Amino acid sequence: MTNAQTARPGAITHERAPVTRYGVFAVTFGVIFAVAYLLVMSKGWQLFTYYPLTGEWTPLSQSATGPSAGPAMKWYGYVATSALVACATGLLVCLLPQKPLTRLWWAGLIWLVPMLAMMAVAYLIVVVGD
Amino acid sequence: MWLNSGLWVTLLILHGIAAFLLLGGLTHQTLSVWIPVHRHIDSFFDRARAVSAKNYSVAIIVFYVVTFAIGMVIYPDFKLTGNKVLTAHHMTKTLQGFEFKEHVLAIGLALLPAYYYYWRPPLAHERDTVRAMLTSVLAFISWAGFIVGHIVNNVAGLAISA
Repeated sequence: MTNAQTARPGAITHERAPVTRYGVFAVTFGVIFAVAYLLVMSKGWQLFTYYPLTGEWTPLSQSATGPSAGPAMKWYGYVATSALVACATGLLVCLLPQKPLTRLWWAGLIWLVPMLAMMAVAYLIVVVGD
Repeated sequence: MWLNSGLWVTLLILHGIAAFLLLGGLTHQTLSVWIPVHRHIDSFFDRARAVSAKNYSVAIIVFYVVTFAIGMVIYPDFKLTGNKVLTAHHMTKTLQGFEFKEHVLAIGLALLPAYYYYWRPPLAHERDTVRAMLTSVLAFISWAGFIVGHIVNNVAGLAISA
């Protein structure tokens, strides 16, 4: 049995907690980020790529100019792209009316989806070689 | 800047210290959430879990963000130095481990807004399970990142000296 008790009395409430707009945004952001990150990573859909040897930033997955550009770093692009998609989706979902939202709402997605995403990441790295 | 080894080592050490502090907080909080203390505290294990879990959340968020930010800054140097050594010595599994670390830590960063939301007082009893699972996922991510980073650092060092 889980318990998030604290030392202060009254810090836990047994009343049904309403879901605030921030809560809707936060959960949507976390869930969509994990899904978007997987897609962006596996398809190479990052908004930009960084070449640390030359300090060059290129759009999307474009190669750097020059023959000795060094290694490409796509990770920054993965994070930024996924964050933008997740943020936009979170804001859109926040605008939805409360009633239909509560019918679809399951807070457990916030830990289940990232867990599944991490397993998918491991699969893509080890098996597929992404 | 990326090949200034003195600056890179300093930032790497700070990265490790911030990660260490993050792990401490998250581990205490995770233990406290799953196995709370309801009786007299006797053992070391009792003391480890007899913390006010709610009070750790902001510190955990700060340490996660700081660790992540320093990691973002030192990553290019790693790509040009340590990564090059690992690739040259065909350390595929170590490289894959680091790739796993970078991806899961990004996923963990995106969980922080929800983590803050679920740990904001008053703590609703009906959200206990989500709170516990979210904390556990973050703890797993942070531990995985710490262990992989430590191994990668050691393997790269051993490879250079070989």
